[in-house]
Amino acid sequence: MLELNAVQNNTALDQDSGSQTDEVKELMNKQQLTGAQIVMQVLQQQGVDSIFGYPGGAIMPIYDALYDSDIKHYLCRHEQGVAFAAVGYARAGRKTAVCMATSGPGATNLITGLADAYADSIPLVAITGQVPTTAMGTDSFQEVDIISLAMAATKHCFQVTCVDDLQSVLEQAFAIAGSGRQGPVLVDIPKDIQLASTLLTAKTELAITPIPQFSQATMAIAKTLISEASKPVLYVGGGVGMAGAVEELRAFAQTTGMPSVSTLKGLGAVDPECDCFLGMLGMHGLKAANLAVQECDLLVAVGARFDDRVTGKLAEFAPHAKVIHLDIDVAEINKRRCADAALIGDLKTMLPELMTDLKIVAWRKHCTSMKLDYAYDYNYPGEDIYAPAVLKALSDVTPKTAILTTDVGQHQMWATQHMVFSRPENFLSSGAIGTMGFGLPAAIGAQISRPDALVITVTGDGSIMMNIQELATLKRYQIPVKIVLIDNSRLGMVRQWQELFFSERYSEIDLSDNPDFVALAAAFEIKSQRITKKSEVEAALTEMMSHQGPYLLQISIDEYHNVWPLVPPDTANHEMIEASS
Amino acid sequence: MNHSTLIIKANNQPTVMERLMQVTRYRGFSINKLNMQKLSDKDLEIIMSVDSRNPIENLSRQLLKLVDVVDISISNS
Ligand SMILES: Cc1ncc(C[n+]2csc(CCOP(=O)(O)OP(=O)(O)O)c2C)c(N)n1
Repeated sequence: MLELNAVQNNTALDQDSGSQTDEVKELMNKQQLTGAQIVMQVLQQQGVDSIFGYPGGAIMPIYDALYDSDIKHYLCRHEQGVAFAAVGYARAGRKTAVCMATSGPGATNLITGLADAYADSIPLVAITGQVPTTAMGTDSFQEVDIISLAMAATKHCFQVTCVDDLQSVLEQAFAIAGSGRQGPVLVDIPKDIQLASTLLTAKTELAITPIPQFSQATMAIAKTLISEASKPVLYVGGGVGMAGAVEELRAFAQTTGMPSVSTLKGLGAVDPECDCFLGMLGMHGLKAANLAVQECDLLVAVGARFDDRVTGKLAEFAPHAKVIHLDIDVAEINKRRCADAALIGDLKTMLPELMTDLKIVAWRKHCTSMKLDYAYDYNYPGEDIYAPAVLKALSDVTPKTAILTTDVGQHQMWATQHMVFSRPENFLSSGAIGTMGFGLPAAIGAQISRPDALVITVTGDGSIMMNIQELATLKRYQIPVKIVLIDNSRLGMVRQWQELFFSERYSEIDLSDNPDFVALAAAFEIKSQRITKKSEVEAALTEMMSHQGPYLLQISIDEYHNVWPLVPPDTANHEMIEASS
Repeated sequence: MNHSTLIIKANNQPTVMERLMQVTRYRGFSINKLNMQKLSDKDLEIIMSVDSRNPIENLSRQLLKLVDVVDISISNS
């Protein structure tokens, strides 16, 4: 195809002196672009104004084209930071994000972020440089078979081996990433393809796979199940936010009056002020949420997938319930729990159709009183700082429009239990694969996506060290992210499990030799403060919130604090442990 | 054990066979017999017999999500 182009051009030149056909004239008027310039053009056509990346040998032509482009590039300090910043950008802005890396180690460093995006269904387009096609398959310098590596961590991957395909491949990548059940797509572009010339053509019309249409017969069955239920529960997953169906879900919850529970990724979908919203269910779910699900006679699962962290022992999960399962992905149906009625399609259209009036006054009363009876007790004796109380206090002073990201561990679970989320795009946490190191770069991406929002990340002293280099990104772009570091000098969640399930044999969880975080922040010119006493919390939160730029608040807590309740592995959700024995 | 045969129509892309194998292994299905044939420059037909404890729909639905898989039919022989 490359040669073909050259031939066409020669033809055009040959005919220059003589009579030109209109076609040839038109061809001449069109500008020849390099593959690298095509990348920039397609990004702009797709409405991309910010990208995250890290350069290197095999992607240099693209970085050269970027030099002339209006697209704003954010240089993170590790490709994992690049990928998570893109995830944060996509999730906070509900749009497809773009990240770039060079071949070999650059590309492999993206993989964890891609796997995270794939598992949480986040739309990304990852562009990687590759060694020239002539060198491919010869173990050349910085050559890694990224297609094979990325295959299990992406919705799809492309390797472009002809410059004439580049534009349409990139357009397809955006279409695939952003449609149906969303996810990351990788486009691997060899260096010679980036340098080769071709013509930019009109945007190709892509045959988008249509959204599946639910069956009316199943809808009727589902409606009957709802009208016959006396103890229904709405089980809300991340799919609601992904489908942009928050309003429809809230209307459904209000009209039916069904008590609701949420997965980690579903938080923010249900109106948190709704008195029948019982909070997160599952391993560290709230007691009322888990008990309601165990008691219910109908579970309406909306954009949720019966993950093992949600269900506990599957055979004993919601044992009396019939199930209505609504999802865009038919592969989720009957995967872990069989559905009595499965509705495949767009939640935005299905939820309004399913809406039915219900008379479940006694059940609602029961659920709201469980919520009150089992409400968390924030009183904690002594001078020490109590993480649940701090996070509640943080939540109380955080505006509804703020974005919260977390890392992974106890601090993450405390955040889900004690903070209030008003929209799914305001709570970004690595759900499906629980990736430590997510919080800081995701917060950076979220802030770039929504510059006017307040962005806070709640992290742990283990997690923050996994992408600590991104403090340099905060500094460089003066991104005003507030870092709340819950510091227990331990890999707290692992420590808790060793305490409970491994006879207190504390293996490799001690982080008490961590660096001085205040000094570390100072090295990046980030304002910070460490607090150790309850009495310091209020003033410290006020100072952090009123500071204009990035800020790190290190909150030292006792290493032995645990997350309660906890449903032990392979145990039914009503058999939770509520305190250390 | 459930035995099933899948007849898969796919786009002739360099990545498609590898991805089919990857998803099949990951979802817990073992392959007994496999035949791949190019029907045209653009199209492949893959006939694959698999065993698993899991219902075949758990695999066929996952495979059908792949961008380059066009169609799947199942026979339980
Ligand atoms: C990349 C990665 N490695 C390991 C783990 C396993 N893991 C889960 S929680 C945890 C401890 C996290 O410690 P920290 O960030 O300090 O949070 P804490 O639990 O103390 O709040 C570990 C090691 C993980 N989730 N992700």
